[in-house]
Amino acid sequence: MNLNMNSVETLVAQIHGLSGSISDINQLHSLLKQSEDLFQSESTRLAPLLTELDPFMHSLGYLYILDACTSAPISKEQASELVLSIARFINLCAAEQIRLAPDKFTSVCKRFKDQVMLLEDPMQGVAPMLTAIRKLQLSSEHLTTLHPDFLLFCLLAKCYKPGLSILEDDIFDVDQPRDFFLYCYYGGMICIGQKKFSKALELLHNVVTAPMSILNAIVVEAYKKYILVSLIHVGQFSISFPKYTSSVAQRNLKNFSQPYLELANSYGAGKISELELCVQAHNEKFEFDKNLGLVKQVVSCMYKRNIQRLTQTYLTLSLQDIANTVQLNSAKEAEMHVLQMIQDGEIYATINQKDGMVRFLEDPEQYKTCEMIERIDSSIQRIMMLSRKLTDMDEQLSCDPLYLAKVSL
Amino acid sequence: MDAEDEATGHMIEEEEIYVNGGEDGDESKRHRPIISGEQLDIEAYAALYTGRTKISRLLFIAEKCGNASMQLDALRMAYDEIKKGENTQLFREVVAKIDGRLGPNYGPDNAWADAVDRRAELRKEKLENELNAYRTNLIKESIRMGYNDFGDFYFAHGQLGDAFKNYVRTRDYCTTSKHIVHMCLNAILVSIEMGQFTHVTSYVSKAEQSQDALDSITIAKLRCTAGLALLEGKKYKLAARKFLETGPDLGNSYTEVIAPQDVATYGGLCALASFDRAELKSKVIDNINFRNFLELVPEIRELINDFYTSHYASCLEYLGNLKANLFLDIHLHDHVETLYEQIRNKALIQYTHPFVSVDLHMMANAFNTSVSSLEKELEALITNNQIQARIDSHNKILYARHADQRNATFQRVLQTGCEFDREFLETGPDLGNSYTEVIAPQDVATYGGLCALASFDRAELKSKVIDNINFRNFLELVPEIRELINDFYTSHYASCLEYLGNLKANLLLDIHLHDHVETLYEQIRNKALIQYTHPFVSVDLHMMANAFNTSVSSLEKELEALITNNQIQARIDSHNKILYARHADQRNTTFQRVLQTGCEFDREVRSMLLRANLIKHEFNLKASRKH
Repeated sequence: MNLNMNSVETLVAQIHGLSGSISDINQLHSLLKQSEDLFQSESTRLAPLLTELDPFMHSLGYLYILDACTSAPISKEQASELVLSIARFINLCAAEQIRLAPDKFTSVCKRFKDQVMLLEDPMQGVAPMLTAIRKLQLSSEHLTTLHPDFLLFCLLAKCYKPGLSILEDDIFDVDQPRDFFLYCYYGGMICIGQKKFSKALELLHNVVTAPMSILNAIVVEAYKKYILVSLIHVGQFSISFPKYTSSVAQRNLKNFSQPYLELANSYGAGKISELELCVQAHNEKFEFDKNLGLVKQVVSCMYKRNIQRLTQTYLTLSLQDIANTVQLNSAKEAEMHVLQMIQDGEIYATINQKDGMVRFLEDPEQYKTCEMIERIDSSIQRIMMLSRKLTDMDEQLSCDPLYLAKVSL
Repeated sequence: MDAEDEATGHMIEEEEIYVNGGEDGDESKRHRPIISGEQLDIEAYAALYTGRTKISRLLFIAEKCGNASMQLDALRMAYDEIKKGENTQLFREVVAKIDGRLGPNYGPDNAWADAVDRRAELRKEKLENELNAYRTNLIKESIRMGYNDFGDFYFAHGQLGDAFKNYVRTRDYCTTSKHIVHMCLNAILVSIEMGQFTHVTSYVSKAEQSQDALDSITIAKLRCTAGLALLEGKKYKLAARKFLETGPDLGNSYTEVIAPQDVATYGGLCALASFDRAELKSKVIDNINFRNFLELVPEIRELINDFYTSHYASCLEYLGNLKANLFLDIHLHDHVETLYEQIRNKALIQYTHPFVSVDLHMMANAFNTSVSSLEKELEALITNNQIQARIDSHNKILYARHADQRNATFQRVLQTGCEFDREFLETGPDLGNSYTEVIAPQDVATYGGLCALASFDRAELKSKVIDNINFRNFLELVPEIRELINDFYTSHYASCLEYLGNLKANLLLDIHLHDHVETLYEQIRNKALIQYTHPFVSVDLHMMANAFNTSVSSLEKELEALITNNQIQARIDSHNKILYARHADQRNTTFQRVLQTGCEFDREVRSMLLRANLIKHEFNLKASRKH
């Protein structure tokens, strides 16, 4: 007992001594790994020791001790205190040191997440989790296990902006497929909340077409949202999957999302009344899936889509005719819709209130401005970067012994 | 009389200046025809060749010229030439052709023929004995010589197949690459005489493999024989290249196959017909080697220069003068028409190329033809998409027009889509009533006609249905269908649609057609609408509604659907009830498409990388489980 106590003390002393240079820290890391059992048995008495350590200077040691002393179950009163202390550590710790023990760091963060959920105050978790992600990430292309947790906090706290900052990074490196599914699903929901439909579509598309061997609930839910978002954003939904979609998804997804496919069908017919009937019929199901809001957006989007279609066919058209063709109640309502769309830049038109005529114009964009050239240029740069990446990936794959072994079999 | 002559002479001169754009005064000083369209000087022609080809060419001329005195001339020379050799079989044929018309000197000289035959027997026996002796001694070189002698013997006696066999047999006994080249040249010579040009190609490539044994003359020989083979295979561009590569060392060393004059003629014409301007300049006009050949046939040289400098009238005149003689050429006669047509088309295309608009009167003058026939020619070229232009038939002006990618694609899609219909149209008329257990000939007309109406474009409708003699037999059986197709083609839509309406009830009772009647009718109606709007910049909807026997508002609906499906490029002015054609702004749409494609690519690649990573990860997972 005494000896044990002593060794905990010695360890703390060693943490103090070996937190300087890189080689020292590596030595300390192996020392800490060896004494993990010791921490386990002594977990209850470790908390006071934390005060002796500096979270920035001795991040690695601090992390091991923190992990050990949070592993025990804690009461709700203690929870808020614990949340604070972990949040403080996350804010102060040195990234280089904690990256030596990513498992420990993630498990501490997971516990942090559990406690925050317990406290039902997701707002509290947003900022520390973002910091944690940035510190744990090796590069911005790396998807950590913390990503989905962070996005979940954002969703629950209805605080979408910080979530978007993470979603803007291109993710290529994934540790756990489950993280990836959740990340894309939550990310898609955040983007829907911010009305960034194209990004949302992309994220949900990633979920649906990801390689998988068994179907999971995340994919099913993502597919439902994917149908709705593509109706809103693209105005149509193609029932066929891209050919790289896993066969499991191709076979099963449609069975789970029948009402949504019916909705897409009746949307394709272009008749508001049919669409509304369909919505009525499956109202409960949509509500149960918590997608009713999105469904309503689909309906209102149809008016816009129909008006937009008219601009392709007509040079001039009276407001009354517009109201008739898109099944609005009055010319007044049609005027409101058209006005709204002109303001949003979705159509180019002028309204002549005197004779109630709308004159549709062509897209005034001439693709001659500097901004446009810059946009095209940046797009080209990005594509060049991506295709370089693709070549790299190809090379890597074709040199990968595992892959080669599989192919040669 | 004199005055009249002077007048015409003056007119010609004036026309000439006008013809060539009136740009240069020295035009009239340029020396003109050297070539006469007169008869070929057979003697001079025959002197260019030696050996068997001389005889073949003379016989060919005799057969083709259609002029008794010329024919006899040719036959006489062939007779003389054969008598120098030992080919008695050919001799007898020629004698039969002469048929005593050249007097007793050119009769069937049996004594000579028998003597030759006897000598040939003896020689053949001797050669056989020699060859057997060589074969028992197994001396390779001697065996080769033996077979070679046999080849020569058979060739001289006109047994080309045996000659070829023996020449080829020497191949197993060739010890040096020189021998191989020799063997190849022999095989080529015989194959050309036999008209087996596939053999020629293969032996040329075989000979070309033994590079070290080739001197410049042999290379030149191989080039021009390869050219001949390609010419025979109608690959004019490749043939032209081969002839142009022929070295000037050829000279008169290969007269048993080809004269240098021929190289110039064949090469020059093929090049004209198939090269573009840049290639013509670099490969023909600036080609010093080839110029040596061209000097031998100044007409060809002149006409190539004329073509390049855009003096089409004079170029075409040279060509016209040469034509009769070229028809008498053993290798070229089959290709003269094709080559001439291609050259003329090339000239027409080249002429129109730099213009935004061309006055057809001027152009007709330049090509020495009438405006109406020029219009026909241009029409054909435009239809074949060789000239991007449209004719203003009223003012006789040709307007250049930028290729419309979209329409082209659309057309191609339609074409692919109607394979099904073609099957109907290809059903022969002899079907008659012989197949009534399945289908009546009336049905063929109905099914084929309606499907064709629904899916063919105007040109196809014309060529495949209206001008299809086979199918017309069927159509006669169902005059309503015939009438409605004609109405459709001549744009009498109201009457066409009326016929269709009358037929509908009956068609719905047809076992095969009833399912498709609605679709076909809709497609035909749409096609009619599209065809109606096509030539207009703006269409009055009232007029159009009349033509289609419908109300303005329902017409508006139909048009709306077509515009939405991108089948008509137009927009409706619903206020004034006018349909305005709308030209898609290529530039902007391209930009739009570029941006869109960029975004799509971006997204695709990222999701692909991700998937690749995930799959890779899965690999690692499984592998680590195994370990």
